[in-house]
Amino acid sequence: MADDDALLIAAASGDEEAFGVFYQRWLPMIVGFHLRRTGSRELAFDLTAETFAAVVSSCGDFRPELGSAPVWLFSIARNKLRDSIRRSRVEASARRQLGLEPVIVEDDDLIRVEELASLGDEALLQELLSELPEHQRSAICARVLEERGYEEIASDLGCSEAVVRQRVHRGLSRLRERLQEAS
Amino acid sequence: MTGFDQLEHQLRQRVAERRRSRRRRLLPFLRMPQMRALRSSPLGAAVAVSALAGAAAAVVVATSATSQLSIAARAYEATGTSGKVVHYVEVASYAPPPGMGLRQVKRHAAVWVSGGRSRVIETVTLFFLSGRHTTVQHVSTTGGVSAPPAATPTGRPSPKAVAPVPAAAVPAAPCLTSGACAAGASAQISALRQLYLQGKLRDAGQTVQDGQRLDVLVSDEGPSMRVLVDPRDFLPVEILTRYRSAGSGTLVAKTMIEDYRQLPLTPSAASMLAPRCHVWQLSARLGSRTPVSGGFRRIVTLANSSSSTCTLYGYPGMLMLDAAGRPVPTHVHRGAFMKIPALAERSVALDPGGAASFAVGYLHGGFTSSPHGGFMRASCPAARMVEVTPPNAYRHLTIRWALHPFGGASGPRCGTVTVSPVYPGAGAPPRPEPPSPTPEPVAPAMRRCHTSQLTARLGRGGVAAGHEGQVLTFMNASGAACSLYGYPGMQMVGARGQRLPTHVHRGASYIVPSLPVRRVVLQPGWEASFQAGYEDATGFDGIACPAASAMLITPPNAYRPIRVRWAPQPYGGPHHDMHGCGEMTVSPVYEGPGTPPAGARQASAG
Repeated sequence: MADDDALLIAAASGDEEAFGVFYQRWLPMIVGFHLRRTGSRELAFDLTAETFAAVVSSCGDFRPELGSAPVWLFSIARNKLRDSIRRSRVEASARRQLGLEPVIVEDDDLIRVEELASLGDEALLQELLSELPEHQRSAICARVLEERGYEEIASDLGCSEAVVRQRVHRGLSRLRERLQEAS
Repeated sequence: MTGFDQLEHQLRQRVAERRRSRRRRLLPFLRMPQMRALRSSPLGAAVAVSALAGAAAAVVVATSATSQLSIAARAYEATGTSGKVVHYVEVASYAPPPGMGLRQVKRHAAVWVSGGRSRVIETVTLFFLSGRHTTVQHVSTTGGVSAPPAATPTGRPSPKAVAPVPAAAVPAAPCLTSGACAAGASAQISALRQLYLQGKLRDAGQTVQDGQRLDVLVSDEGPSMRVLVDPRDFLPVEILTRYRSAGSGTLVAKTMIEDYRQLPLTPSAASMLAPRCHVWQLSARLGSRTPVSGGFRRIVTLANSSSSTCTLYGYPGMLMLDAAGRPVPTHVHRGAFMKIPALAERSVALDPGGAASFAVGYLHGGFTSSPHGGFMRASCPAARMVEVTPPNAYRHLTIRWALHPFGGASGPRCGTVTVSPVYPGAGAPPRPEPPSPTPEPVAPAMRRCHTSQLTARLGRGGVAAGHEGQVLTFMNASGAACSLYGYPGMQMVGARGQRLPTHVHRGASYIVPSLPVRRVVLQPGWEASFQAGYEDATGFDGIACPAASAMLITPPNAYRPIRVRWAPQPYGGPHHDMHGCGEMTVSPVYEGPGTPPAGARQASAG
């Protein structure tokens, strides 16, 4: 799987395929981000369009040494969201700058917003889980996702219950931190 | 196809256009005679390869205004992965200053040489490479532009003149024909930025040119340079370089940058000479709090905690948060307010450890406007923390700050604050600069408009959120052309002809847009306008301000006023004093009747 940073750099030099991969990969997360904060499907669509238009306009500015692509992407999303709260409307400046034609939002799109948002939550969780050390990830999967008892997990993993509890606790703390950073 | 698919399709098209437009810009150069010669050299191969790879690489060939100069381009080098640009152009008669060999000359990235005893020639030949190429070690003499020998700077033919002026490079239109001036301009800015960051260009005050205030940067190291910079975005508008020549005394190179904003600059170059300050470089803290009538002015200071110089320009953003970290509705108004003077946006360079500040003004919470006039008790939400977004930044800094604003310059409304643009230092905002710079010298044939030449009339008026605005238009009713420059004066008169207290504030307000001061030429019958704005009685409880019966309007730089039938009733004293009357804001004059064209408004950082 291509690295997000590399995808953005390729997009900045005109690689539309790289941009397509980046868009598909991060669309659900960005839709979910905006939907959770605005509660409106129409607003979430508009803010998502504006966020990605800003990505296309400014991907030449992206500097991986200053922060990874997801951090950069979510900072744009946050910025767009904050602007819309301040001005009580969603700006179309990034879309206008690129000369994009307006997209008419149909009912199907609104349903798609919700589908994508739920996908986004799942995808974001998987992404964050994959960044955890293996011993913490397996402990969390067993305890939280599979809802198994500490005793059973401890015997499976060949360690004490206290160690499993500690791994789950530390893993969850780290997940929480990463979630806060991402959103 | 869903809306998301349509969006993706359109965005992918725009990404792909980027590559196509880059190739379009490069193709003309690859077809030039010089480029054919270049392609057989190691450098030429690098240019061709980088062009095919889509990296920025371009050659700009431009000629003098007379296309009568002999030039031999000689050495070019591009190093590093950051797009560092080195280019060097040699005029036949040019000899580097004593002790400056070619290698040293090459380190001076911006060498625009042209010559002639009395002639000033513009850009000559400029090669640059950037992108991901590593060093091009050595390049031999490659080519140039030839012209009649008699016209060389020293009158001697150049032994290195090899190729004729390409048909495409016609005088006076180098950018249009080459199409790579954008690349050239970016290169030029990159080069200047290097010098600036190395401390080789230092501030030397300001000057006024064509009615525009410009920063002056000078360098005395190596060739002496004088760069005029537009303080609004810190882009250079003119570069003057002097070299000593072995043969003909001083050589002067002058590069006039017509208008960067019309060129498709690369984003990094367009982002000013010094790089903008990123959030990671800054720390924010609260400064002094000054009570003002019914509210506070608070200073917020941004300090550069990194080890490199960076620039802030424009207005910051603010978002208030409650104790639980939830956003509280925040309305940020940009401009002047009580004890916050109308400051012009300016570029503030922050050295490591340096600080810049902005002022925040607000009326203190607890009250809001009553439907029956005046104020009533209200419950505006209180903030406990504030996210400050530095100008042109994407991220924010959070500071602990309990505030409870209910109004600012845009009127009473929960969460309204007024912010100034950033200014240097950690103290209170500076006094506003006089809005009218030194009057521009006017050519003898183009005199200023005297009152006797003008008529004045009311244009469109408008009302918004407790403010009223009015366009006023001058017409040149004489038979000769004249010019207007700056701000008009105003004086209200009452029904018996008595003068009423009038406080004219020059600049922008809630309803008067921020406009640059420009000279407006009025041919006979032509019109120029300005905007005036003031606050109405909304929110001013317990006072009754007098209404005017007429207004005396004095054209800029004139002595006698013109009487206009207009009956404004302005509230608020100097700097929006809630107990005063007669404050009015005026814009400078602009061309034509009606409201100013959108392009005339000063760019504001978003």
